[in-house]
Amino acid sequence: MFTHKKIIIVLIFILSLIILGCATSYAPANYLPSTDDIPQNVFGGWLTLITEPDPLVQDSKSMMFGGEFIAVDDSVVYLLYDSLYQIPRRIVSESTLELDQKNTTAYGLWVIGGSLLTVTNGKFLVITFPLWLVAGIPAASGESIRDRYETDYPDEIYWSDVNKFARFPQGVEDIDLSMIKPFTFTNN
Amino acid sequence: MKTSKYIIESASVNILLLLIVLSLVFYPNCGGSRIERISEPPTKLVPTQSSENFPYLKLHMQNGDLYVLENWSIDANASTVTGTGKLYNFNRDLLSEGQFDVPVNPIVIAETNQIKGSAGAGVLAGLTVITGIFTAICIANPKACFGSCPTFYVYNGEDYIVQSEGFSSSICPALEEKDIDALYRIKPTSKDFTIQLKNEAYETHVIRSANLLALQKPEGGRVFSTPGNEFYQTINITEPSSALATEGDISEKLCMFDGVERFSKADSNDLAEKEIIELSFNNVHSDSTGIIIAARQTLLTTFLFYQTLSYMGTKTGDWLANFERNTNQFKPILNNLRSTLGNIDVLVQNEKDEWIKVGEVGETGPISTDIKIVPLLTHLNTAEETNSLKVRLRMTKGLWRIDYAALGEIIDKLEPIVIPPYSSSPQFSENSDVAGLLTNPDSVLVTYPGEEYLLNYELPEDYNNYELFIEPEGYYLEWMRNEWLAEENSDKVYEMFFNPKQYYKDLAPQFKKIEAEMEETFWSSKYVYP
Repeated sequence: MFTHKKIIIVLIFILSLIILGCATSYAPANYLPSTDDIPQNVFGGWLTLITEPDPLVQDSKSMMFGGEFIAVDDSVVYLLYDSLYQIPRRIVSESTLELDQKNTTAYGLWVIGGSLLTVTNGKFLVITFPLWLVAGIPAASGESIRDRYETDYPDEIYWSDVNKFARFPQGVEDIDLSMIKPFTFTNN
Repeated sequence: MKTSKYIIESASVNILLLLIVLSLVFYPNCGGSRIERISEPPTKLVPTQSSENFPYLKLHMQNGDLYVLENWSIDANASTVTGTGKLYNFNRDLLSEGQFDVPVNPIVIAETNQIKGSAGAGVLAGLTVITGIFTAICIANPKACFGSCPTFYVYNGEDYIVQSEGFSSSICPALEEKDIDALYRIKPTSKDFTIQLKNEAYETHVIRSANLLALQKPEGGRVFSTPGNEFYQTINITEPSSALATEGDISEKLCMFDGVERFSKADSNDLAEKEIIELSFNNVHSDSTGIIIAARQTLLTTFLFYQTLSYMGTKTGDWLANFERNTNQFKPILNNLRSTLGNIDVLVQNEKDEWIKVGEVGETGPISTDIKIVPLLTHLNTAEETNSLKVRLRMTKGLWRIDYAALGEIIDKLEPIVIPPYSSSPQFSENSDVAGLLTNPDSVLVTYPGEEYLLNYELPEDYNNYELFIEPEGYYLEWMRNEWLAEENSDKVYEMFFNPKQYYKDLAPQFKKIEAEMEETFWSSKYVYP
């Protein structure tokens, strides 16, 4: 079967650009709801934190935590995974909050398909193909970082902005945290 | 010159990459978000808010419980929220579901979400629509799409220009043939001569050879080939004093080989209907002359070829295989088909003033204009008093684009110097040693859409004194398109083979519907643009 070398090169080129431009998702598969299900979703977003060694704790190391964003107060971030983690805000060096599933793969395939379709555009290919690259690739990679709150050394403004995406935006003062069930993986 | 072309191509790629990088940098920052979450204390809930604006309302309670309500509303005093939905505990276990009347006081936070449309999807949808529009142009008129046979481009001092389409009528192995096209407008700048060979359509090209032919030019004259592949030195080339067609004098269009062409529309009732152009030449003193004609076909034959493939449909392979097995039986039938449409017949008057055919010229294909000479020789019958000569060109209406017509004095017949390519450089291909494939008569070069080669030739030392021709040999296989399969009709194929006159009449209305825009569609559907 004939395969066009140039088509393969173009596919690799487009895929490379999309992959380069895409952000990695830290959330487990099936955890994040689809965008349209966000209004009914009853859990917090998926929060990933990287911490620096805590100067107040001996032999403390830099750590990476990931889990459901339970709440945040003036000094602590609450994360739920295999247990509830209470992480001092002052040692958080990077924070990434993800809210929903992204359609990056679908958009990437859309860009590849659309780019290939331009071979049927005759001479207009010189317009439509670059258009797909210039607008399509950023659209696909932009999808991966949409509604993603990511920052280094998060400050008060950041925590104030993301608090509404916690399971308990009202705080945890009146909640018995010892009774909270750990995160469980499901295939649903 | 090649260097400058590559610099331009390289610059274009760099600009494109720069635009992509810039858009990757800036677009995400401009992309925004789709999820807008409004999280407020219950005192901000007002009676005018309801599920019409926000289908779901979440009520966060102090103990961690959560109501998720649909069809919700707030009473006039803003003291109770009513709705149907579910109540979850702080572990998000479902406690109950149904109709709820929730007092506002114990609510800590009321939350609504608005999901906006996807900007990325909008961009991609827009691009798809734009691409689809251009695609639709071709799909709506698939029989006008580009078909080219091998195309040969030669550098004219500014750019590579198409100079030849090889063996356009060789649509299967049994019809493999040589084809000679003049490189009439090319002036070599050194004895190192390069030709660009391209496959620009959805076709498989099987090329046995692509030799260059060089013939010594006469002083002040040119060398032309005949349709029978003979070569004549020709001098005293003169344009017609008048050229009359149905629309009037067309001599201005035919006086120079400049791309200004004379063509007519096909007949509405019969695609094989003929027309006549009458050329007059004054001061003809030689009795060894030839009529020189530069012409190419319109897209009528392209339409007929693709329409025939449509009628063959899924059985195209069977038809072509049958043709391969019974070539001797099919060739006369095919010739009948071709002759019904015909070439450009050249007629002169005999002693009895009757118009007699002395030759014909014409090559299949709408891309490259070829120039040929038809010797008149002893058939010439000039008016003795004025030494004027009238020549008629008889051809199918709407089939030919004539760029140039002239009369020349033939002084000698020549044999060409055959120059095979000595090396090649693949531009976009996988074949190696292309020159070796093209010079060995037992091997062929097979090319696929998008492949390009530069073929290098060495001309004689006094290259400026030579007329050059390209002589490709081979055949090609057209790729079937899905859009062509819808009209499969074996009866029509039989009619084409055995009653071509009726076939051309039957197809006339169909062709007339697309004739006007076919040229634009054809060129815009080219797979690879030069």
